[in-house]
Amino acid sequence: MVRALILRGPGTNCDMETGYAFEMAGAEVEYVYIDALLKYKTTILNSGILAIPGGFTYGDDLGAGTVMAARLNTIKGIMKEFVDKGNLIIGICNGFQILVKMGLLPGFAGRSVSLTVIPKARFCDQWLDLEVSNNRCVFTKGITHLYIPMANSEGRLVVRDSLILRELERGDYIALRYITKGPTCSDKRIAGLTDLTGRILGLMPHPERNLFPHSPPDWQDGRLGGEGLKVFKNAVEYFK
Amino acid sequence: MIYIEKGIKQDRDDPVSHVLREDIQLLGISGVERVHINEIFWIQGTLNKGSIERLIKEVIVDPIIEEYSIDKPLSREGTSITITYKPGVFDAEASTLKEVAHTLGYKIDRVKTGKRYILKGNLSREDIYLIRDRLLMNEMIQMEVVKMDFPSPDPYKFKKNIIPIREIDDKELLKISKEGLLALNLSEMKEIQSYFIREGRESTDLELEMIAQTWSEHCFHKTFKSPIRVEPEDYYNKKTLFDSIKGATEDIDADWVLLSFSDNAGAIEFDEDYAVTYKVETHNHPSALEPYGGAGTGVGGVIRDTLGVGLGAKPFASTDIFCFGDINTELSTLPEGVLHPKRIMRGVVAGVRDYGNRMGIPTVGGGVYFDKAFNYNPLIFVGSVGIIEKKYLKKEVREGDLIVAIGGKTGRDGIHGATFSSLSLDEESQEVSGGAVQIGNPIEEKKVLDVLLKARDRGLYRAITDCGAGGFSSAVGEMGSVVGAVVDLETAKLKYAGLSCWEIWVSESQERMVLAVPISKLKELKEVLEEENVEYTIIGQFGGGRLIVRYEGEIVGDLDPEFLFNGIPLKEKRAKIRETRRKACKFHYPEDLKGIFLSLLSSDNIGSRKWIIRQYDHEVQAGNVVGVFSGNSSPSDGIVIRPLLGSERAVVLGFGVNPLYGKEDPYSMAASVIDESLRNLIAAGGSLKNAAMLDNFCFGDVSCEEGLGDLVAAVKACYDYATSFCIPFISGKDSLNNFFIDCKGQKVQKVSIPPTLLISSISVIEDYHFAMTTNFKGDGNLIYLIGETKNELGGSEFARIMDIEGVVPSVDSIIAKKVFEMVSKGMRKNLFLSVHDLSDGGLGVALAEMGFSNRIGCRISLSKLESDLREDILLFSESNSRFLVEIRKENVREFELLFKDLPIFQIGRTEGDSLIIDAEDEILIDLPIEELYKRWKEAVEW
Repeated sequence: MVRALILRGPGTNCDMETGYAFEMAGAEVEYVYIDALLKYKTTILNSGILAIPGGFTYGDDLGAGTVMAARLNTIKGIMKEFVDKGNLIIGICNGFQILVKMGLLPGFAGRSVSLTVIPKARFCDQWLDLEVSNNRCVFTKGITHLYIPMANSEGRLVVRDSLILRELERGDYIALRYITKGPTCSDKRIAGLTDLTGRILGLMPHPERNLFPHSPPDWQDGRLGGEGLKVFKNAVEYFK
Repeated sequence: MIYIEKGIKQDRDDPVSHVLREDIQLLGISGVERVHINEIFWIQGTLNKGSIERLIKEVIVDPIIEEYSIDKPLSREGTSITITYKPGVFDAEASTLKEVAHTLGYKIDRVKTGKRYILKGNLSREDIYLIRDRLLMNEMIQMEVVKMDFPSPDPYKFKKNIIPIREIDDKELLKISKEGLLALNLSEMKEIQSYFIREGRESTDLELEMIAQTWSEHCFHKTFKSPIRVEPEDYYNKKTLFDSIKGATEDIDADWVLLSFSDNAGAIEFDEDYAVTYKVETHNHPSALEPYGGAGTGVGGVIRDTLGVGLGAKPFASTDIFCFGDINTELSTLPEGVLHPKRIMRGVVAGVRDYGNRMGIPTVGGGVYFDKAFNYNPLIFVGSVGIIEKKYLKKEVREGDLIVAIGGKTGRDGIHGATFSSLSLDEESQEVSGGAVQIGNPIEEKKVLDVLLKARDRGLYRAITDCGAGGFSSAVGEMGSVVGAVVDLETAKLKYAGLSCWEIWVSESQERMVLAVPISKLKELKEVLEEENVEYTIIGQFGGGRLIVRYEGEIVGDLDPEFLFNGIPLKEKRAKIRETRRKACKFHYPEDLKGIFLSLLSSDNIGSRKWIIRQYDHEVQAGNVVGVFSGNSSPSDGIVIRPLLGSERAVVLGFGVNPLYGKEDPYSMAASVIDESLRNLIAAGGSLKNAAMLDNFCFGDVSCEEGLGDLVAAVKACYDYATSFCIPFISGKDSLNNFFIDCKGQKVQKVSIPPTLLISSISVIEDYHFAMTTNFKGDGNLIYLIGETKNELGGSEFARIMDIEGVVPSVDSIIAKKVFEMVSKGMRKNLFLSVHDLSDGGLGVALAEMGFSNRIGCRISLSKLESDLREDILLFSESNSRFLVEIRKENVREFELLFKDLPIFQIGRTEGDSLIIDAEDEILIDLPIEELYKRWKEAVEW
C-alpha cells in the first residue's frame, strides 16, 4: 500500500480532509509537521506521495505560502530527488502557492509565475467548473471535467511575461483551467499546473472538498458529488 | 535600523489599492487619481548588505509582482502617509518575519511593519486627514509614523501595593472603585471591606482587581442571579431570572443533554460515543470601537470555549449573527468617536472572516440585521460548535496538579475587558478603554488547537479552561475554586517588559489556555508542545484551599475562594412590565403592491447575504451538507454539517433573532425567536426529539424598572416555550447595558438598543440523507402552506416599509409543536421535495426565495387560504410556525393524512419561470423569477 505523507505547518487546515481523501483512495496516510520534516530530512523518501494541503501557513504573512516555501527550500534537493525517483507531489491551494513560490512549479529556471491577490481583494469560496486537458499529469489522468470549490484570496495566477505563458501552453504544463474567467481572473484561466515530469500537481481549487454525494451545494438538484476523489485515486493507482 | 519598502510593480494590477480608491470615492472625495500601498519593514539586527538582499529575496519580496528599495522609500508620486501599529499591539507580519528569519539563520533582534499610502490627485489637507482617519487607521490600535524608533518599555520594579480599605467611609470606597475602573457598587465595596476586616489586614491592588473581575456583570451575571420583584406581582413567580432558564432545563430533564450551564459550553448527545458542544458569545463593546480586532477576538474567544469544554472538543463550525446600525446613516449625525455602521460592518465581517478562515473552522452562517437602533451599539454574536468523545466530557483538578499556561504570551491587552464590557459606552469610551481592544493571532490559536487534541488523546492533563474575560485570574480562580491554587506570577511569559503583577493576573491577552497537569505527565506534555513550537510555562500548582498569588516569592493576593465565588451581595432588583399592543391597527391597502414586494426583496434585512458568506471559508473540513444557500442561491433555513467524515450522522443548526419585535413586545419577541430557531432546525431536517437551545440576551439599560421589565418578559417567554416545546437550554450568555450616552445635542440623551434575544438551536439528524433544502426542485409539483396566517404585522419588514404598526406575532405552542413533529415525520417518509419556513417578509418573500436556485416559478391563489384577511396581510404577515412545502402529486394523500388535524392549504403549484399570485380572479403579482432574483441579489453588496 502506498504511503501518502501529509505535510502540516502552523496554520495548515485542510490536512484532515486531504488525508481522508487519500485513505478513501486506498493509501496509507501519515502526517508530518514541517519542523520534523526538516529535522529528519529523508523521511519523505519512505513515502510515495507528498501532499501539501490547504490552509494559511504562517497566516499568509509576507505573501501566501512564502514562509513555508522559504523553509522547504532548504530541502528542495531532496524533494527533487523524491520526484525523480518516480514519486508524486500534490499541492492544493496553499500547497500550490508553496510549490510555486519554491519554484518547483512549473519548474523553469528561476521564478516564472506567481499567485497573487484576486481582483475583489478578499477571500472567496465558490464552486467552479474546471476543464482538464493534460497528457502528462498523473493526478488528472482520465479526468476531463471537475466541479470543485475555490477558497482563497491569493489565487490569481500571473506569469512573468508572455514567453512564459507560451512555454506553459506549448510544453503542456497547464493541468486545469477554469471554464469561465471567474473570480480569480488568472492568466489564461489557469487553475493548476504540472511540471515536466507530470508527477507534481499544484491547483488552487479543492478536490478534497468534493468527496461525498452531499459535497456540492446543489446535490439535491441532481448534481451528486464525489468527483474530486478521482484525483486522489489516480495517485494511488499510479503505484499499482 | 534597516528600512525596507516594497510595493507592487507599477505595471502590475493592484486590486487592494483599487478597493481603497473606491472607498475614498465613497467618502465623497473625487480628486484621487491613483493610490499606492507599500509595505515597510523596520529591522534591527546584525545584517550585512549581502544578507539583507538574501533575506529580501527569500521571504520578503515576490520577484514576479513586487519591487523594493532599501534605506529609502520607493519612488512613487503623491502625498504619503505612513501608518503602523501602536506599541504593544500585535503585529503579525513582524512576528512571522522575525520567527522565519531566525529559523533561516539571520540575526534579527526586532522587527516592526507599517504601510505607506501614497495618494495622488487633487486632494486638500482636509481630504487627506479624512482619508487617514476614516480608512487608513483606527486610533485605538494604530498611529501615524513621523520617525520610527523601537522604544524599550521601562522594566517593572516590583512593589507590593497595599490598598487600605478597612477604615474608610462610603465615599472613599466608591472612589477606589471608580478610580480603579473596578465597576463595583457600594454594597459590593462594603462586603469587600468587611471581608478584609475579618481577615485582619488591608487589601492589595491585585486582590481588588480579582474580586472586581469575578463579580463583574460580564463574569457573574448579577442581573440574572439577583432576587427580583416584578410589578404586577403575579406576572413572574420565580426568585431570579436564571431560575427560569436553568429551571426550564431542570423541569424538562432531557436525557440527550450531557452538559448544561456547568462548563465552558453546553453539550448534547451526537451518537453512542460522541457529544456535540455549543457555545454562543457576544463581543459587542470591543467591536463597536475596533470592529476588525473586536470581532476577530470574539471568534477566537468562543473557539477557546470549545477547546476548554470537558478536556477539549474539536471545533467544526462557527456561527455569526450581527445587528448593525442603519447603513444609510448620515455620517455627520453621529457623535464624535462613533464609527459609521458601514465601517463597523465591514470591519466585523473581515474580522470574523480572517480569524475563522485562518483557524480552518467553517463559518457556516447566521444572519445580519440592520436598524438605526444599533447605530451606537452594534451586536456581534459568535458561536462555536465542537465534537468530543463523551469520555472526555469530565474534568477534575487534584491537589498537586501543576498549573500550566500554554499558547500566547501575556501583554497589556484587554486590561479591564471584563469590567469594561459591563459598563455602557459613551463618547469617551475610545479614550479610557484603549487596553480593552486587541488584535488576535489565529495561527497561534490554531497551533494550540492542534497540540491540545493530541495531548488530550494521550491523557496528559486532567482539566483545562480558557483564558477569557479576567485572564489568569478567572481561569486559575475557577479551576482552583475547590482545591485552591498557588501561582508565581513572575514565571508568566510576557510580550514585553513593564507589566505590573496585577496586570499580568487580569490581562486578557488572547490565545491562552490553562491546564491542570499531573506531575508524572509533564515530560510527555512538554514533548508534544515542543514538537509544534507551542509556548508553555508552569505558573504554579493547585492545592492548599486558598487562592494565593505570589510575585518573586512575596504574597500579593490571598483570597478565600468561598468569599470570591459566593460572597457577592445580591440586592433585590425591581422590574415593571409595560403594556403592549394587543389590537391590529388600520391602514390603507398599498397602491403599488408589486412595488412594495420588490422593495421588500431588496431591503437591507431581506436582500442576499452572498457577499458575506462567500468571504467565509464555509466548506473547510468537508462536512457541509446544507449551507447558507440551498442549491446555489435560495437562502436555507438551517445549516446541516457532518462533524465526523466516517459517520452519516449530521448536526443541524437554527437561529432566531428579531429586534424589531423586541421593540414592540419583548414576550412575543422571545416566543417568536424560539419558534423561528426551531422552524429553521425542522425545515432543514432536524427534530424536536433531541434538540436544545442557547440563549443570548442583549438588552439596553436594565438599571431602570421598565428596562428590566422587558428582560423579565423575555425570560418568562423562554421558560414558557422551552417547557411547552420540551426543548432545554444548554448554555447562555447575557450582555446588558448596551446603551450609549450621546452628549452631542442640546441635552444628554441615553440611547438603548431594542430588547434582543438570539436563540441558537441544535439537533442531530440520524442520517444526512434526511437533510432538506429550501429550493423548488421541478415543474408541476404542489405547494402547500402549513400553518395559520394571522393579522400579525407588528415589527414586520412590511410594517417597516409601510411605516405602520401592528401586533407582534404570537406562538400557539400546542399547534406549533404538532406542526414541527409532523414536518419532521414527513421528511423521514420522503414526502417533500423542498421545505422553507416563513419569516421576514412572509409568504411572498418565501415563495420568491424558493424559486431562485433553479429559476422555477409558481402559480399561487391566495383564496385557497380561506381567510377573511386582506391580500397584503396574507402575503406579508410574519405569523409563526408556518412552512411552505413542495410535494409530488403522488404523495399528496399520505401528506394530507399525516396532517389531517392541522391547518394546511394547497395554495398552488410550481410552474414556468414567473411568480404569479392571484386572489379571486385578480392577478396581484406576476414577475419573472430572474427579475426578483436580481433585485434580491444586488440589494446589499458592500
